[in-house]
Amino acid sequence: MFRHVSFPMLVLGWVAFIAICALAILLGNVAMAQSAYVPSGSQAPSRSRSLFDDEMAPGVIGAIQLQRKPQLRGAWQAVEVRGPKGVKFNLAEAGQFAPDMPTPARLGLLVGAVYRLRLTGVEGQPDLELFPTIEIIDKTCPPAEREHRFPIPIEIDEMDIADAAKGEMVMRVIYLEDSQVAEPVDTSNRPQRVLDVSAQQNALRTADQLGRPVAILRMGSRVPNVTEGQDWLEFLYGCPPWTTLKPIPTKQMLIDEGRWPIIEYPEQPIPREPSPNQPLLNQPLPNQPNVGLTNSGSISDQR
Amino acid sequence: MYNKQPMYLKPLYLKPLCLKPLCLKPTNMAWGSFQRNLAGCCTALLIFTCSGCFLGNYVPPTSVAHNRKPSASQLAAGQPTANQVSASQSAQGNLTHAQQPTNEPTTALASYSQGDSYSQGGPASMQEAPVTRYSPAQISPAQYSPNMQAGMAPQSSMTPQAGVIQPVGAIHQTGAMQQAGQHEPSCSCCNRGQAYRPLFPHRFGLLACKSGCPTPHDGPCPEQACGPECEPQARCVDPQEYIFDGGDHDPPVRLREDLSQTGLDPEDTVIQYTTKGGVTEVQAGCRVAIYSPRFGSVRKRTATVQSDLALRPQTADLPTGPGLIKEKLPPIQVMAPVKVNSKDAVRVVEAFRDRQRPLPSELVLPMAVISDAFKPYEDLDIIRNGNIRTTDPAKLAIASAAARIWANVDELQVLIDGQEAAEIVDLKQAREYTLYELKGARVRICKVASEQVANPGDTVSFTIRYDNIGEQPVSNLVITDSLAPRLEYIDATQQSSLPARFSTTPNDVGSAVLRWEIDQEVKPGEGGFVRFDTKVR
Repeated sequence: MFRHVSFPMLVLGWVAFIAICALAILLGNVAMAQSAYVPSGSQAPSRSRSLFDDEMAPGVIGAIQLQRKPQLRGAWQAVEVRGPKGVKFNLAEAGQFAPDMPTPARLGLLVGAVYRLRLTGVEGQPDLELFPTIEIIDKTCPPAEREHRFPIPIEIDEMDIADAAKGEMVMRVIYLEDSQVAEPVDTSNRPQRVLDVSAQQNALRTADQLGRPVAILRMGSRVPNVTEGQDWLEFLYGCPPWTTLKPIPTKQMLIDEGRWPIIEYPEQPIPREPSPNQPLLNQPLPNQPNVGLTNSGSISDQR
Repeated sequence: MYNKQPMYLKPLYLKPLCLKPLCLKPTNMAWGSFQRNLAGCCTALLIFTCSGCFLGNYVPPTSVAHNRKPSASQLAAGQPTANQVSASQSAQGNLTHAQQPTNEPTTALASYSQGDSYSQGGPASMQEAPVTRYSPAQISPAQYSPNMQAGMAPQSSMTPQAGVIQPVGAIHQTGAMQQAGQHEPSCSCCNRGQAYRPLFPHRFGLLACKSGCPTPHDGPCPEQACGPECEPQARCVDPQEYIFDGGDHDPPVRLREDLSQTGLDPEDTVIQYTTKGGVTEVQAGCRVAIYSPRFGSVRKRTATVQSDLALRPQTADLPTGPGLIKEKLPPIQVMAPVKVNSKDAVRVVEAFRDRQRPLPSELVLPMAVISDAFKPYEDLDIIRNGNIRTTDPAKLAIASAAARIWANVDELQVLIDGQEAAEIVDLKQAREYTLYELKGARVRICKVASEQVANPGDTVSFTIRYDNIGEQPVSNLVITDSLAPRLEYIDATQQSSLPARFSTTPNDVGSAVLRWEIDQEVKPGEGGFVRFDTKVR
């Protein structure tokens, strides 16, 4: 082939070939750079991925959490289940559902476990039964001996029940709000703040942006078709242990339990002779000025 | 003679150039065959080199898809991006990776996996976190107070050449140190001293985005565009369950030439005073912590069955009017309320009699405005008379210590060769003593809260005690307290032991900045306190 090509033409062909190759290399690098270009603002999310996804099966996130945080193993977390008026729920215990418990109820649940509930007593739908699950994926750190005062509130409102009864899958990710970046709104004596996301969004990731996810509530309309056997135990997620927490007693509860001290005053006070050495409180003490807060700013020994 | 040679190459041209000295040609090979073979080898070498370059630069489409930014139509439709799909597909790989022990604190739930084949998140994302700086025109070095105390400005947070201040969350970690897993001594990533996460990112615009974000944000947008969900700053500490108030976060509070303050972040409590020499200084106090968790939820509804078929209504029920109207008759019988016969009342102690030793007259506070006695949580000598008893620091540190213990749960514990780390205490005593005389003026500020735990809606009282512990009288005292976003100041609840002008202004996080301006000169050994109530949101 090269016998009929002159030497200048051969050199020219080599030069052209080398130029074409160099141009191809250059274009290849440009194409690669363009394909790998990501704006710096979104570089972190594009090069990374979330460890958790809300489409994971119940129990997977809790198991991963126990692997990541060994101190959560065997830890109890106070939880308060709230629902509409009249709604009752049962927790799985020893292969069957425990007796009815009215809402709200405070429970002590294990972190990392999944609990199956049975929800009944919905107003207007007496035959409706829902079987939501509660998964505790993290715990709070309240001061000692005050764990029961700060439970994780798991609220189930009418909208959740209506959507679940329609056949939809309702998922609630309860998160602990970061106090330093919290919204300055008053939440006292009001329902829990809810942020609705679309079905394509990752609810767990959104909750993690707003704070620290601590529990997941999943509620649908499927009912079990078995009542015993291994499938039934798997439906109940092995019936992990739980306990009920006694609510903070009010005065009426103490009276009902007979723990409120009842002091019976006599109808007529018994006249008592004042002793000369014991001065009365409602009379000014001799040789002492009046008790009160003086301008000196300190609490004096008089009033 | 030349006619017998091949036309394309003349050996006379090449012999003196390079081929002859190289002695590559075998002696029994003709020049024509050698040149043809040489040309073929060069061509093959070029093709091999170019193909190698192509293959080296080739990026499979699947790998590119992980780095591809979602299109606008995907964002509008809310379709899952390639990252979300890859995350769900590779969940098992993540699980395997998560089981490996890691030296990084893993407190954030959706922390990004590290060391993955195509996941370079984690430290890389932390390093590339946007750093918001004050513009040099806003705060210039000349505007700093020349009498600023040396210990108030950490070197890592201020660049003297540029005259800028980095807020909390600015990363000062180099790439080499990041790869080695080391941290600078001032690194806050390990929750040493301060939070890694910006305390109030929306104040600095870190959560803002240019466009396309469904969530509105306050503050300026950063220069970088962000995705559909404003990505949070990577953090190494859990969100706080406590409400903190007091202290002085970075950047520290500084004074401009007109004595106005800059760097006053929410939760900061500082006192500003002027010495006898005309120098104005700023002093921060202690920090109190109140345990008050607040919960929210993110709800997601997913239809189990999707159908594009729209069904028309088959029947319609028309509302009908009432068939019977019953008139309401006035009540026949009215029951009058009965007066209360008895009332249960709790008797409180009306008087308290005790013998106390008289206090020195110079320690007695002038109580001009305070109309109430000391409250139980103020039962500290440092609050009552400005003297520090040995038990007072312990009482003041109760709340902070509880929070610190909680925050350090996830820290790394080193275990070397099966032996736990032990604390080594040197029993040698110091042989030299250096006595520092505190000359000049110095004001101490201390803050206490009435509650250590609170629920939303509870009222928490704060008391700020200040004392002149220097040797000079100070004047023009200004106490400034910027409240946290979850604390709401209750109007008309402030009290001051000294006459003061009180004012409130809203801060950037939706709460208020309380300001007391005390014109009275405070002599050495004297002091006072202010008190106010807040409501937990």
